[in-house]
Amino acid sequence: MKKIRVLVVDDAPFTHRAIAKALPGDFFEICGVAKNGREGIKMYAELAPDVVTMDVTMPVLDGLAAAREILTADASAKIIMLTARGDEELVAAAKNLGIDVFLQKPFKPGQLVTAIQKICRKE
Amino acid sequence: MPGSGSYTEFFGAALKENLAEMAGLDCIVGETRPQQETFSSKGLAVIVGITGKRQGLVVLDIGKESARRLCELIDGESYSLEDEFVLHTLAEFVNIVTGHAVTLINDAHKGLHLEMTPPSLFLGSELKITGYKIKTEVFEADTPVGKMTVTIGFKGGRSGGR
Repeated sequence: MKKIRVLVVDDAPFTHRAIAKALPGDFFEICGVAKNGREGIKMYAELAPDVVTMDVTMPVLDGLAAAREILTADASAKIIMLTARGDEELVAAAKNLGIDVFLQKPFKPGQLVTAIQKICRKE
Repeated sequence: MPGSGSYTEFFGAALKENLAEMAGLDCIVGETRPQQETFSSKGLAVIVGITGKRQGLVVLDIGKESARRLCELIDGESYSLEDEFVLHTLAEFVNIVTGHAVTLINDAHKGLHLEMTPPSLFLGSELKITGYKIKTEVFEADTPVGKMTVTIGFKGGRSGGR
């Protein structure tokens, strides 16, 4: 079975480890880790992942701006917002970009797996 | 959601919620009081900036051993005091607590558009908070891994801001 390739865009090493622990290696592959939005855009173009987990608060370029750029270049990009904030304004801003899978930290491993499966089923 | 009072209440609620969810710890949040410009750190301090229509900062101060024990409970593995991952875990814990507090404030007070900066970590014994018209409040949280001090300040004073 083909593994789902995940690009992690987050500046926190804690989250890198939490995501790696949450995703079973038989089904998922973390194909890259970007530490800010600008790196995330570059790595998305290079790696063409199946799914991106995107933090919001990051240095250099925040997650909403990075998601906007990725979706402008590739409207079919599958992006999950994974962030400490979950206020209505932020969720609405993500929805305006076409992102409707939103997880607030801290997340449970099962929530992340379900979110990735959900977004991968969408065309 | 916290009732009347200052924004500081939202941070107390977010700390309690996330200590329970991430580390399985209960805590007693103490009274809020004004903070001095300079205070002695317990050893580690994480600072998160707040931007938007109200600008300010949040500082969580904790001892090194308390941070190590908190990290072990959050991550489920053993760590030494020297392990850098303890610092990463503490920084992300404070980021999450602040994110939840900002969520509560933004949802309760539409139009504030509060956002956050990435967390910064400081190691040392004395910390000075200086800023134009930043007035800070502080509360202490008593937890099974030790005490934490949370300082909240907003530009223009009135951490209570309403």
